[in-house]
Amino acid sequence: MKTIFNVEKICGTKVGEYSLENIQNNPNFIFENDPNYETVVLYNSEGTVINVNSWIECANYVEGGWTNGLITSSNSEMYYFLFLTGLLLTLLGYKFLQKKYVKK
Amino acid sequence: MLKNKNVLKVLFTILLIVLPYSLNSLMSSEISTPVLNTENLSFYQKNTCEISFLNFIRTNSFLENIEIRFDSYGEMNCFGKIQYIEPAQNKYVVFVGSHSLISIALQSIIWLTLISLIKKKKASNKFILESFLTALLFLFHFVGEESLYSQLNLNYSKNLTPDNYLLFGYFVTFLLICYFISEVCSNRIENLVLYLPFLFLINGAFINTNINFFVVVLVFYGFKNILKFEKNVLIVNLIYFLFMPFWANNDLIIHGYFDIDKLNGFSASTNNDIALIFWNLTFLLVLNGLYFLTNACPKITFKKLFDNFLISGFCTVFFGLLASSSIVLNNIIYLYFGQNKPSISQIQSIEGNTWRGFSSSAEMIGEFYGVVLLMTFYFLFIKKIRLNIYQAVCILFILYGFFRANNIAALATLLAIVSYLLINHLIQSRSARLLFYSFLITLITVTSFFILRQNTYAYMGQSVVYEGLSISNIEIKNNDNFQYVDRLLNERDYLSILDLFEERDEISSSLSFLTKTLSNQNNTSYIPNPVAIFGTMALFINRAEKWGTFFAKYDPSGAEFYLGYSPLNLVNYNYDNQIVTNGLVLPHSSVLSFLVYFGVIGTALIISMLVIKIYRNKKQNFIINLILIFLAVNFLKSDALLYVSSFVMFAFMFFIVEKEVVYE
Repeated sequence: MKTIFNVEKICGTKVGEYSLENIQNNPNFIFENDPNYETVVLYNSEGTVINVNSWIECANYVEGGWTNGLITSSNSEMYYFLFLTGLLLTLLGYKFLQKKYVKK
Repeated sequence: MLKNKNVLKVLFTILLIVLPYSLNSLMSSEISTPVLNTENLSFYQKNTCEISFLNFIRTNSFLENIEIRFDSYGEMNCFGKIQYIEPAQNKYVVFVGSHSLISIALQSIIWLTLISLIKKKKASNKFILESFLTALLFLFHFVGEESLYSQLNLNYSKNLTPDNYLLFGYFVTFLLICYFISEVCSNRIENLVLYLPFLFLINGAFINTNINFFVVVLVFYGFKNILKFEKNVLIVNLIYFLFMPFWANNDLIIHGYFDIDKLNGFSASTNNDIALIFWNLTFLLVLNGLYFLTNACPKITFKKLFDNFLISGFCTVFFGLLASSSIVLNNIIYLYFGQNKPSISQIQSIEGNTWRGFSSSAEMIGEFYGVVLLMTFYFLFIKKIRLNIYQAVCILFILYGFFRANNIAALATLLAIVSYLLINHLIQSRSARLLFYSFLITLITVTSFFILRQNTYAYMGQSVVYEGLSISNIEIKNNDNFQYVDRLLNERDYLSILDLFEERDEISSSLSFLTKTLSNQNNTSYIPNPVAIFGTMALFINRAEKWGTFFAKYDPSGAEFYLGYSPLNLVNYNYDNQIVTNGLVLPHSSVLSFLVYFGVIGTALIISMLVIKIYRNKKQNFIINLILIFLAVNFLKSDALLYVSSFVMFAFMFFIVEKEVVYE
């Protein structure tokens, strides 16, 4: 599911039947342009750019780790961690103050 | 005042259940959702993480061809939204974003809020060191079970780098959970164990993790127990620690991933060193925690415990039926009751596994209902305690649940114990009682004979060995030997099979031992062969195939046979001998499971402790003794001790058998 989820998000909905395995097993495979497919620009981790002109070509590159730069890892986990740490420190501080002053 | 507070808590719980899955619906900008069908599928696939689950349900609740899966492999901001929809054969699989950190926090808050409904009493509340150690232990778990957690978390990394917020977030989440455990549970510590029956209702499995909430609670109190530094506790723990180096350093084949399935939260998903150390410590700490909580309860009030058994039993039946009525309810119950697997979605009695959901196995829930019915009978007929109308209604539901669980062993044991109680209660004369028992034993023997006589003793005695060899990888393909082996098996020529495979490892060491014992030419005439007796018994209780599979898979070396593979580690048992089975096939006996965990020495020690304890307290806490006997007999053929709720319940009964127990 995870791969399709990324592929379809970047390359659009799959139309027709394709087998990525056949392509990946054939190093001499040549992709044919699909005139109905709107060109997608993909980037790899080193910043190299390519244009893909068919859904299957796009899917093949995305499977290989290329992205369109739109899927970026969000910082939610960082914010969540900071929020929890803040909450924990506040609770501990409250507890400490309660022990020190309220009981007296 | 107290009632108002409790109402507020219930409302807060309901809000927590609904709110996270409706956040986008509350915002006006959310796109309107179409009905899910072939035409609109692409709409959902394009708008990933845009539509809230609640909004989706509002439009599609009438659909019956959807399967909902809570998927934690995604970004945190996708929580509670439709992550993706995948068409499958005759249905759509709907993936709902459920980031594990938020799920853990959400489920914990809800369960702690429910615990806070218990009446509180001020108690001392130290938590810093225990919390830190608990969080550290579970961090250890997160790092150790890499193959599991990397499948479940998009940003998983076990490296301690400054930007590994998932790992740090996980640690702080557990610190906070421990803080709140201390705040909520410690103030109710005197009564907490009386609410243990609710573990059968709220199973406590954190979704998309291998952690159980109640295991976290018990580990926390386990640390508290050890940190008291009491002499007896330290000695027992030290003895256990002596075995740990063997379990952790044993020369085992390492298997990267074991699908824990319904064992979620109480079994290792891999057997690397870190995972094994974690589960070894967890097992010990769970027992320590339970011991601590039991000792914190000054007097066990059986009326409260009995009432809680009744309410829990009633609720499991009620919510079990409710879960089968709708796909959405089924999933909500799965999530918020912390089930290991979703409940069955059909109301028919046998659909997959009868009570799957609230119980991981039909046997376990049958045993639970059996215990409740045993208590009911004891209090009603022996102690002459009258039931009120609510209790009577609960019992009716429980009777229905017991019937649906289809657990013949539990029914037979219950009938046997009830008969024993009735005979002892109604017949005062000792000789008359003896006569009656003799009559019953004769009746059972004759009945068993008529049931068993359909087969010869020779056939029945070989059943376990035959089933074990049948499932073993002893085919030699691509030559005539394949048919030859098949013929030998059908002719029950086990010695020739053993000879054929003597130099190879296709037959497990345990099965090889059983086969040799069964076929031993030096057997004394007229003395039954122990393996043949075992096989006959197994066939009689419908366990020949399951135990045959067990022995085909159980392939220990000498040291592992004596000391076990280590607690909560079924990985080697399942994979070492490469027996292919359809899904997870457990030993189907808690005794055999413990043989895998602790070896023959450990298992013998545990059984001896149980027998001694029951014998020593035979006149005190009679009902607890009866429950222990009822459960122990049933555990011979059920895996219940592999699950948190049953294990905790049994250990609790074991701990309180010597304590002061009063009815009211």
